[in-house]
Amino acid sequence: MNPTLSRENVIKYILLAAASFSVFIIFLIFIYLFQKSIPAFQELGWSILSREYSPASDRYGLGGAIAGSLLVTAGALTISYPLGIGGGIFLSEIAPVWVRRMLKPIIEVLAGIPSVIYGFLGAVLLVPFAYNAFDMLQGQSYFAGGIILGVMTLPIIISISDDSLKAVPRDVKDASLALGATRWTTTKKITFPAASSGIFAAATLGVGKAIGETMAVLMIISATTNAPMPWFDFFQAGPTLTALIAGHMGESAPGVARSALFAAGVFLFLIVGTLAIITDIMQQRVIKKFRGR
Amino acid sequence: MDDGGMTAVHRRLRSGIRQVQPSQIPSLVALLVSIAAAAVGFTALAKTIELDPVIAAGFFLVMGVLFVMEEIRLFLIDRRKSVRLLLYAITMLVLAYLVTGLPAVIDLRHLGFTAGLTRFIAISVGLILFGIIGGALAICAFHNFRPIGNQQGAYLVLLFCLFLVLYPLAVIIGEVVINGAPGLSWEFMTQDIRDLGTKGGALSGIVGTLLLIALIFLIAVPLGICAAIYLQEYAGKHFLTRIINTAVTVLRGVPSIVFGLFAFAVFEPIFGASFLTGGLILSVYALPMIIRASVEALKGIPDELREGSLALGASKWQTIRRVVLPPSLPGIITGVVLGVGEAAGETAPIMFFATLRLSRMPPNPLTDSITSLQTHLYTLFGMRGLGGAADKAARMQNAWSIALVLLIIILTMNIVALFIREKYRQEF
Repeated sequence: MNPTLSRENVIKYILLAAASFSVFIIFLIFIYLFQKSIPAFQELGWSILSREYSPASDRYGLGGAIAGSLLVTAGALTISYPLGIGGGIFLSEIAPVWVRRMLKPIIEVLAGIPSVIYGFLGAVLLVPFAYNAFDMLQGQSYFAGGIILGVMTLPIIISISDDSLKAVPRDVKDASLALGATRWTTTKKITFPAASSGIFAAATLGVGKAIGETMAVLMIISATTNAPMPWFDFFQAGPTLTALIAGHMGESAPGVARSALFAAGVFLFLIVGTLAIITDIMQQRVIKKFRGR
Repeated sequence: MDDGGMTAVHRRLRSGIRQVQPSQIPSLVALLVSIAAAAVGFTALAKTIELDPVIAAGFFLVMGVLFVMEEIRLFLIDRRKSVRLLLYAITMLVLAYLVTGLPAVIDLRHLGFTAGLTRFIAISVGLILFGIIGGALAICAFHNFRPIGNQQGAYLVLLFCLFLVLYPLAVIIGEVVINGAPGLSWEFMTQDIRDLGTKGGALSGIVGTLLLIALIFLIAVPLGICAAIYLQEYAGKHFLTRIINTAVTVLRGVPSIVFGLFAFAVFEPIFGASFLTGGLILSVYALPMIIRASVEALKGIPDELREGSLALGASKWQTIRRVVLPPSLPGIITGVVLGVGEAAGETAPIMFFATLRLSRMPPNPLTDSITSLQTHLYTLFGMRGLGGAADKAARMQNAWSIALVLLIIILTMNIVALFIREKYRQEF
C-alpha cells in the first residue's frame, strides 16, 4: 500500500477520533443532565414550578429561583444594554482611530476578569453601598446582584455591538453622507438599523451570560434564603437558578432533592441553549447580509 | 468615517468659540453648567458624599433660567419656538422647587418594595441625568437646532455612555490593585495558607491555578484543535456536522455551574477530588470555545489556497499542514489562550470538591486534592465573619491579594492572546 496514503488515513482517523470524543463528551453532558432530572419531574410534577425550595420540609419548587434569575438578568440588561450600545456606537462611529485601537483590546481583556473577583468586589464594595443608598433591610439583594451582572456583561455587549456596527460596509454610509445627511443621521438611520441583528445578538449573549453567572450571584445574594414576597421586590435577597444549585448541591441528599437541582440545571440549559442558538443565527445573518454569501 | 470624529468636533468647537455671537452665550453657559451639574452629581455618587439639596436646587434653577433665556433669544432673534427647550426649562424650575422639599428617604414600601429611595441617590442620579440631557439640549440650542447641533448633542450623550462603561471596569481593576498590592510579599508568595486564612500566603492557590492551566492546555487544546480541523476540513456539510456545530454552540453558552453538577456527579466518584477531575471538567468547559475559535480561524482561509495546493499534487494532510494551518495559527492560538484563560478563572465547576491546601509540594495531579486561587478567594470570603477584628482584617488583606494574583495571571493570558492576534493578523 502507498505509504503516504496510509499516513493520510491514520491522520484522518486520529482527527476523527478527537472530534468524536469531543462530541461524545458534549452529548454525555446533555444526556446525563436530562436523565438525572427525570425523577424530579416525575415525582414533583407541576409543583416543581412552585415558589418555595426548602429541603428541610421536602419542598422543591424552582419557581422562586426562576423568577429570581429573570429578575437579576432584567436588572443587568437594563444597565448594560443601553450603556453598552451607546459605548459601542461611540467606539465604532465617532471615536478617532487611535482611541478605538486603544480601548477595544482593553475592553476585550477586561471581559476575561474571573467572575469570582466581580463577586468579591460586589460583596465588599457594592453591597454596603446599596444598603446605605436604598435604606434596605440588608444590602444583599437582587438589586446589587443585577448591578454587578450588568457591569460583567458590559464588555461583551460593547464589543459585539461595535463589531456589528463596523461590519456595515462603508459604501452604504458614504451614500448617505453624499446625500447630505450628517454623520449622526447616518448612524441613526442607516448604520444602526443595518447592524440591528448583530446588536440583538449582543443582547441575547448578555442575557445568556447574566442568567448563567454563578459566583457573583452566590457571593452577593445569599443563596439559601427563600424567594421574596412579592416576587418582584428586587431589594430583597432570594435564590436564582445558579445560586440555588451552588448553594444546595454540597449537602443535598441523593434522590429527589438532588434530582431537583439537576432539574434546575435543565431549566438553565434550556434557557441558555435557546439563547445561544438565536445568537448564532443572528450573527450568521449579519455575516450573510454583507459578505454576499 | 475613520478620520477622527473627535478631532473634527474639537476643531469645529475651537473655531466655533471664536465666532460665538453674544446672543449664543446663554446656551454656552447652560452647557457648562449642565456638565458641571453632571460632574458634581457623579463625584457625589462615586465618593458617597451626601449633597446638600440647596446645591442641586441651585444647579436646576440656573439651568432653568438659562434655558428660558435661550427660548426668549430664539423667539426674538430667529422668530422660532422650541417646545423641547421650553418644556425642559419648566421641568428644571419645577425640580429646583421640589428638590428643596425632598425628604431624607422616599419610602417605597407601600409599592411592595422593602426599601426606600434616599435623598442621596435621588439628588446625585437626578443631577447626572438632567445634567447630561440638559448639556445635549444646550448644544442643540447653541446651533439653533440645526442637524449639526443634534449630532453634537448625541455625541455628548454617547461619550457619557462610554465613560459609564469604562468607569466601573477601571474601579474594579483599581480597587483590586490598591487593596491587594500591600499584601504582596515574598512571604505571601512562598507560604501556605494557615489559621483559617488569617496567616500565611497563597502558595497552594498559585501552584493549583497554574497546574490547572497546564492541565487544560494538555487535555483540551490538542483535542479541541484536532476536532476543529476534522469538522472544518474533513467532514462534509451534511446533517451530522450541523448537529455537531449546534451542540458546540449550545454547550458554549451552558452555565459553568452545570459543569460543576456534572463533575460532582460523574467525574468525582471516578477520579476523586483530584486535580485530574478539575482539569477534566475545566477542559470540557473550554472545549467548545476552543473548537469554535479554531473553526472560525480555519474558515478564514480562502478555498483558493487549498485548491491551489491540491492541484499541485499535495495530499490533503500536506495541504492542511503546509498551507491552511500556518496562516490560521495566530487566530487559533488567540482563541485557544482566551478559552483556556476563561476556563482557568472559573470557580463554579470545581467549587464542590476543592480544598484549601495542597497535601504536599509538588503535588501529584492524578491523586492530590484540588485547590486553586479562585476557590481560595471564595472560601476566605465565606469565612469573613469568623474571629476578632484583627483576624478579619488579616483575612481580608489575604483575600484582596489573592484576587490581585488571580487577576494578574488571567489578564496576562488575555493580553498575550490579543497581542498575538494584533501582531500576526492576516486578512484574505
